[in-house]
Amino acid sequence: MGEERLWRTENREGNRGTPLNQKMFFEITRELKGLRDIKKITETFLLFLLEHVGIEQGTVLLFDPKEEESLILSRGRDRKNVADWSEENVQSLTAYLTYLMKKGNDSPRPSGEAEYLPDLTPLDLKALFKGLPLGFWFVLHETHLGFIVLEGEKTLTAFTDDQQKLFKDLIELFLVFLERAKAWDKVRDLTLEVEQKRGQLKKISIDLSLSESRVQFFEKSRPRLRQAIKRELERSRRVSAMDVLLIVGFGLVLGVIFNLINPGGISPIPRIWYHPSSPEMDLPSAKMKFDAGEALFLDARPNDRFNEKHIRGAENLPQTLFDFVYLMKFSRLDPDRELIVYGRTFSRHYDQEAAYLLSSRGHTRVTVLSDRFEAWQERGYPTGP
Amino acid sequence: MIKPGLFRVLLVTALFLGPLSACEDTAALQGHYRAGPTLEKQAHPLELVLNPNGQGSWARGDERVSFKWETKNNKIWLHTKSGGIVSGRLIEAEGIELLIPGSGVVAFKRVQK
Amino acid sequence: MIAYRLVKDLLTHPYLALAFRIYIGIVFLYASMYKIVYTAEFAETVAGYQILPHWAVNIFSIALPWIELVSGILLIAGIRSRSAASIIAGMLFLFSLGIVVNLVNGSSIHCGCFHYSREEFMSWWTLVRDLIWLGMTLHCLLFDRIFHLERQLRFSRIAKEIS
Repeated sequence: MGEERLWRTENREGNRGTPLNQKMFFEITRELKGLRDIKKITETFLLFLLEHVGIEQGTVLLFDPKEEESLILSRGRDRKNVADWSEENVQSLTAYLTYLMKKGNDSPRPSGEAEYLPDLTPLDLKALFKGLPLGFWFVLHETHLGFIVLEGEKTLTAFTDDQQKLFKDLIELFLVFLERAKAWDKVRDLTLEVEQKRGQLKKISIDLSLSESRVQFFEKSRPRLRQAIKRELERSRRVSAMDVLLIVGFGLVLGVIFNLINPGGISPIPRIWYHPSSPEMDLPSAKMKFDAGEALFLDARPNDRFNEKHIRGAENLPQTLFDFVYLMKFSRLDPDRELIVYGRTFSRHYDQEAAYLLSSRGHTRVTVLSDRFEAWQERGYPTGP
Repeated sequence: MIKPGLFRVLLVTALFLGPLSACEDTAALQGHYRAGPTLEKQAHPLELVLNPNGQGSWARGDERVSFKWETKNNKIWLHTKSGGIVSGRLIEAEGIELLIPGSGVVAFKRVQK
Repeated sequence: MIAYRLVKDLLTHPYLALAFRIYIGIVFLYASMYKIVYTAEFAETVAGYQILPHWAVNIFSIALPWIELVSGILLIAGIRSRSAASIIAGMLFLFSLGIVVNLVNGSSIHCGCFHYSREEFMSWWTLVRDLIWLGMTLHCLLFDRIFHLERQLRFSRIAKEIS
């Protein structure tokens, strides 16, 4: 350990490039090579200096002017922390560093080179340092400014040129590792960013392909939609046989249902189809009865038809008003009186219906004229009014 | 907001129902009527009954005929189940005249409400 | 020339067709009411025309008023309005034919179109009236194209499917 303290008075000769220096560089390289954390690298370097090079106190300041972040690390006998460094101290130091970087030189400062700070007086930091400190400042990757102060024992004189040269070389080696750590940080950040972007890109790609397939779907559907709309429009405009059938059928069904439940409903099929029919008499026979005056002729047609023309002497018993008229005029009629009913039309068999009603009222001799009144008239038989 | 087509259907349904409710007040005519020149009791006189629900009956003795009746503008119609119509008119002093086909006009006078 | 075009535009205007459509719909809706309530009387009126055979009179009288009712409603609402108008036009044609036949034969019967209390015996004016209605119905068939409930329902259904 003692052999490695260069500034002892019992210094050996040929300091530069001596096996001892080489060993020192080898040692520090070996200690720093596995480290990636800047803080750890800095601490290890300071501790190495303290242990191997006889430094009493070392302080490193790393400053990022863009982010305005600073890292201060101090190791040594008296202070293990930077509690003595006030905000004001840091600001004045970083301002001085910035000044130095810009001073008289427009071209960027080479990265990783340490410059000796001959005079720390302008910094007014003497109160923080003991003895005669040795200061170096440097630029790291154009993004960081750095400051190293090394302090020796109180009784030490100023560092020799060789010592300064050694420290400069050591510091520049330290800066190499700092740069490497920075580069690793950057690579890590870039990798993270790339991963994030990749994730975003993937999501965008998925959304894009979804949108694309949707657009394709609509593109394909457009002619079909157009046709569907056209077809619907046409359908609503045209007359459809099916529609007509449906409407008529629906009306028919409604009518039948209503007729069934309506107390005043009518029979859908002619009643004469299921009522027993009365015996019929042909025209000549009826004429004979007429001439003999034996039978009562009853005209079952509606009154207005009867009034137009009827068999002479016939009485009107409209089938539609059967109950009324029968009650008024025929309820006292002899049930055995011969009755001949006529009044058939193309659309109604009034005669059969009236004859059925007469029979159901107890009349025993009811017959129906087999032909229409018009036939009686055509034969020239007697008519009225 | 109601669609135009639906509104038209509702409007016409209201129109449809409107006339149904516009029947004349039949309350005044409801009651029991008897045919004949006088109100004196006859053997089996012809009787006419007009009920509140538009139903009515026409009777002589045991025989009875039912019908539906309606009135409008001093006219009355009796609708039979077999599709016949007996028309008549309202006369003053609580009377009704009905035209019976084949029998002529039959006058009825109110006997009781 | 301008006057001709003006008259033509007026006569073929869809709003005129709409007015005819609503009117005819209401007429048939109203006309069906009496026939539905007094089916037996309507059947007698139909029988009085002496056009249908005796076995068809009653079923025809049962169905026709309801066909009129349904057609009238469809016409007013604008649902299958062309088909409904065709049916009504067909009915009017048949009625007109029946009137002509009976007038030529000298029959004095009631039209049976509306309530008994509103009608006199049929005459040539009855025929004229029916022919005017037939003309209105044909106008609807040719020129009616606005305010159809069916189209609104169809389009809203299609729009829903698209969305």
